[in-house]
Amino acid sequence: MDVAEREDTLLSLMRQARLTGQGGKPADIACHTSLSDKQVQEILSELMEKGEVTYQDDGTYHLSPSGIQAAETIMRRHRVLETFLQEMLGMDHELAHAQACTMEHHTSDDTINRLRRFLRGNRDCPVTCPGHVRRCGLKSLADCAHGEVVRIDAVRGCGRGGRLADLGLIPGEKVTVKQRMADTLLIQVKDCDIAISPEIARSVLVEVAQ
Amino acid sequence: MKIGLIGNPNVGKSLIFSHLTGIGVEVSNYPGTTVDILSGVSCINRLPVEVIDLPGIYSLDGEGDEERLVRDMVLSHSFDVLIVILDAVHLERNLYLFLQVLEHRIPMIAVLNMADEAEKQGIHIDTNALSQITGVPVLLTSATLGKNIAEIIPVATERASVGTYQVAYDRHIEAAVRTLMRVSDSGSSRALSLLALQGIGTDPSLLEAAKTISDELEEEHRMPVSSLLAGNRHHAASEIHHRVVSKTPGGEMRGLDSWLLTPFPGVLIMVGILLSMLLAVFFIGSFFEELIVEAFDVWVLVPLAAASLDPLVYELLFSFVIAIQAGLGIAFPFVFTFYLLMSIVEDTGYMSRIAFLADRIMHRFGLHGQAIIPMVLGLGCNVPAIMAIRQIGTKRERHIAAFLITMVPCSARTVIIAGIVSVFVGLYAALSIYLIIFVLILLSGLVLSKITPGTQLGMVLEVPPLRIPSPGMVLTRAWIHIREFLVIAMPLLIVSSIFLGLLGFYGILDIIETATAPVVHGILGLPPFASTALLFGILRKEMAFETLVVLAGTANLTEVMTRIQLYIFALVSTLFIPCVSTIAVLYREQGLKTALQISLYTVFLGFVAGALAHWISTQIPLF
Repeated sequence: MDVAEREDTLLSLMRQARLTGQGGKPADIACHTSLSDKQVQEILSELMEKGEVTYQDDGTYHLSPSGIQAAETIMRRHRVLETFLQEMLGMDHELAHAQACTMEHHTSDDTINRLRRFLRGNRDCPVTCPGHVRRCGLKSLADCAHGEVVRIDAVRGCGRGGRLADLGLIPGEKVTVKQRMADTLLIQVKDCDIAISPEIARSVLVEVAQ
Repeated sequence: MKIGLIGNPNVGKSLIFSHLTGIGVEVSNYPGTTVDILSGVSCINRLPVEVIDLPGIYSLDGEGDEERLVRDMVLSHSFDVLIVILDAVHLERNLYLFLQVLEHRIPMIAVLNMADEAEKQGIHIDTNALSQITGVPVLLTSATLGKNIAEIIPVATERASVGTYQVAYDRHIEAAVRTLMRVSDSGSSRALSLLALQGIGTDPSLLEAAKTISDELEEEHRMPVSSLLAGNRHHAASEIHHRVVSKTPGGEMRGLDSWLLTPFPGVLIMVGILLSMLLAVFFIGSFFEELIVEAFDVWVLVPLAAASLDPLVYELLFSFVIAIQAGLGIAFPFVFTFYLLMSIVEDTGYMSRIAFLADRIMHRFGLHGQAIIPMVLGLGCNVPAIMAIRQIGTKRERHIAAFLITMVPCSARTVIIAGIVSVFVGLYAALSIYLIIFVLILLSGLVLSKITPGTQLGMVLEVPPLRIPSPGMVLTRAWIHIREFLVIAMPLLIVSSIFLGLLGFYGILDIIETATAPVVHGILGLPPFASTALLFGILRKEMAFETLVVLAGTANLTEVMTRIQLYIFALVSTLFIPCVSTIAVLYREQGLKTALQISLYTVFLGFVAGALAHWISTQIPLF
């Protein structure tokens, strides 16, 4: 089985689950991935053998926990690549997205990690630009759920950047999300509780701590 | 000898300060800011030592008013000795500021406060090791228990020393600092060079050299120099922390916070607390205000009227007394109660919890969570509410908050609404006035958040652990604010009261009445004498009501005015221009321009609302 086909199938199932909360039918997957129905069936049965996908009686396929993990890894690769192409090389969003979609399957984890470290230093993006915040795929503190423990990847931009650093919000620091009230967050950094507004939380990029 | 207390917010700095100095505290204001500096005198071996409480800060490199002030004072060598106060429970975060202060090479000592809390949580700190690493004497204290507090001044005066520890910065930064230290002729210090790299300083040649280097550094590291420095300092702080602190795993208490900080029941508790604070300010305030006003009427004004003085002298004395009456009537009942409650909420640490819970709602107004308390308590009295907005984040937010709070109907305006509208027109009509005002506040908030310059920066606020406040501190703070209010508002009150009195005496008020009659009668549909009542309402809002009764010559106002006229009068006088005391604190907190803007805006609102109400009443017979 081709790596790209397998990964596209996983991603398609993931997207389906995120959008509708339900599993995907082979026909949907075929439509998303532009593979034939027969190919999709073959891939799905292989994935089921590996335990990444489960079949349910209503004719839909679901991702298993290990399948979700695999899909998330691919998505992360996609985001890093897309951000790199768009921010560093100045490519168009659509083009960067399309490129990232093909590159994601054949890029090693080491390359991705190196790229991410390189991106960390990127300060050129303005926090205020809402389109950017949406497009810059890396997860921000504002997306973290109650009780999540994350590590700061980078703090974007201007304004309160200095203040955040003074409070201990620096790259590499561990942060616990203690409470969410609407979009305002209560986080714990260096044993101290800090309340931050959503617009600030969006400028702090994080990754899930191991 | 001058000693400065420096430290993060919420480390018990003010409590230590009040232990050290006792009474006789002076509040001074740093030019161009609303940051207060407290100074007091402590005695050691019969020699006076001046102790200065600097505002709590997280860093010496920041751009906030407080940070700039503290940095300027440290750089200008205003202190002979610095006492750095650190929170023993959160030592790692506190060490960050300590390491920054060390760079300035001023004799200092470190005080690790909250030793009792640290002990409770199983945190043990090796003070000798910390002292050896940093080269500065270290004291372990507990301000709430008074433990070791007596040692602070003796140690500070006798053993304070310049620290020996240096943060090991990134090698590029160290190289840059070495270069910069050679640049200027006088030979700049390490601390100045580090500040210059962040674009802070006064020496143009140093700054220019630093700019070139820092651009290069930023290019290479893809990070602003300030972030690099912060990273290095935090790293050093965490290293020291590991060397001096050992923690026996103890029960981490979150206790009450699991109730207070959740949407349910946290929000309910917050609403309950805010409401009971409001009721307290409202009822305690109005009760004592009435007492004070009564006392003045009975003991001063009645004998004055009976004394058969020369009319001009009488008018002057009368105006003078009612100004004092208005000032004291706000100062003691309202400002005192307000700050009593405010200090309790602040010192317990509940304030930042409210800010967290209310942040979302206040965002709609272009404000942050912290603004909710002055907004709600403004219903009691606008004056202390406006004095309290200096704690709210940025200039933009303070500007918006000042506008909105001035519009909040305070208890004096409630007296007008209750005394005129609900008595003579009806309860629903009274409630409709509140509704109109709240809609106007909402709309003004929405508009102001759009048009006020500056971007909306988010809130970053530390939420300290819950603590029991010290009664002494709470009382001291309330007293300081009363004094401050009297100093600002009294002169203005007296001047405007005498001015109004003289206008009345020379019959100019009658001329004004005639002159404004077309507006007052034609547009608002009110009898001409209403304009005098509105004018006197500026002194103290209830006086609009009282003057109206006097001018009407009867307590049964329906005999001289229609119900719709009474409704419009109440509406206009509630919205219309804030009282002199409010204008005085607005001027003091926000400057002349904002005070004028707000006054004009409210006059405009009052007239437009009144005119609209009049117009509607002529179209549709409502009452």
